[in-house]
Amino acid sequence: MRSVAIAAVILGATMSLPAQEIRDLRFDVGYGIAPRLSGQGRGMNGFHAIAAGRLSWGEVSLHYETRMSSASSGGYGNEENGTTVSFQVGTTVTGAHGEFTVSAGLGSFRAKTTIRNEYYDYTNFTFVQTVTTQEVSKLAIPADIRMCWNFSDGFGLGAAVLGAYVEDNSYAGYQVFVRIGL
Amino acid sequence: MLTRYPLCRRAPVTALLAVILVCGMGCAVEPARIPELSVLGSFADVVHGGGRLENVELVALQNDTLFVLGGSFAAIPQDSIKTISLRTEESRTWIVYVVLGHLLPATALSFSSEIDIQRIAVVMGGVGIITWASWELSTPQSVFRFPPGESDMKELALHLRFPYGVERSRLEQIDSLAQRSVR
Repeated sequence: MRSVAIAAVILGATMSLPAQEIRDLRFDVGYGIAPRLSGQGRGMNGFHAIAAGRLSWGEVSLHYETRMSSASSGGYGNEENGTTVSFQVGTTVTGAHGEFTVSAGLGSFRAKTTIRNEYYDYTNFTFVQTVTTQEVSKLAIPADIRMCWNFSDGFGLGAAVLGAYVEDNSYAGYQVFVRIGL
Repeated sequence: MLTRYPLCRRAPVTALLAVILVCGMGCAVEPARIPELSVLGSFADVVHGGGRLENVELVALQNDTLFVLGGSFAAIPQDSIKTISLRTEESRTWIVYVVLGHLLPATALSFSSEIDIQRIAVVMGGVGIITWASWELSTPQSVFRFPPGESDMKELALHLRFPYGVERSRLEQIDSLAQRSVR
């Protein structure tokens, strides 16, 4: 429910922006990794997509990022896959060839995690292992830094470090992306 | 019997991270190798709603209109301008190798499914991006996106032949010439 509320706030904030003031719309789509910051286990791969527009005071962007682990199970709370949808504000500095963007905001994190239990069954005199999954939904505080090399007015390639603070599920990722500008 | 402690296993990873960080940041802050950027007068490429003007001289920005001199005078409404890119000469191809030296290994390491290796890739990628940004931002600005901020406008004014308030009579003359060229 909280995830839906956060998504509604993000959508409302986006819709309330005066569209005529937004300039230089751009879309980034990237692929890479986003391992979690704490604990051990398998790494995670995934992709992200953002839509961003420039305003007179800065830049606003809507981010979607999903990531998944190649391993299907792990320890308690091990993440199988996770998705973060966020609304971010930031600033872009234009260099000789590239654009450097720093942004941060708020979002919703949703993940499927595994819980592995091991216990000794005194009835059958054997160790028993059970793996169950659960869905978690949490508040995320994401932040990005990204650099894009512009090959033309509407096309660029770049790299981004993107991450989010999520209680018990924080992560940081490195992804390369393609930028299409309007 | 040998006992393996987690700290021992992680020590090489930590050391590698430290080396990567120091090398990357060292490259990023080295002032002696800041590339030169020479601006050839105030010639620029202007991208606006009506198309692209290449190699025109920036004359003035007055009354929300940019006046440029190319094959002929042209007046471009400021609202329709997307970018002004100064014609610059640069000699810093080696920056590409340094940045790619970070980003390509980081991308290669991304193919691993080991979480420790992925973390190294993230750090390398971050250092590469910061290095890239440091170099980009250490050079004079040569691309102006519109509408520019106040500081950008001051920077851009340095590249106009007639900045604000200077030789207003000439501006009016240019204005009339521009209007004549539009007709």
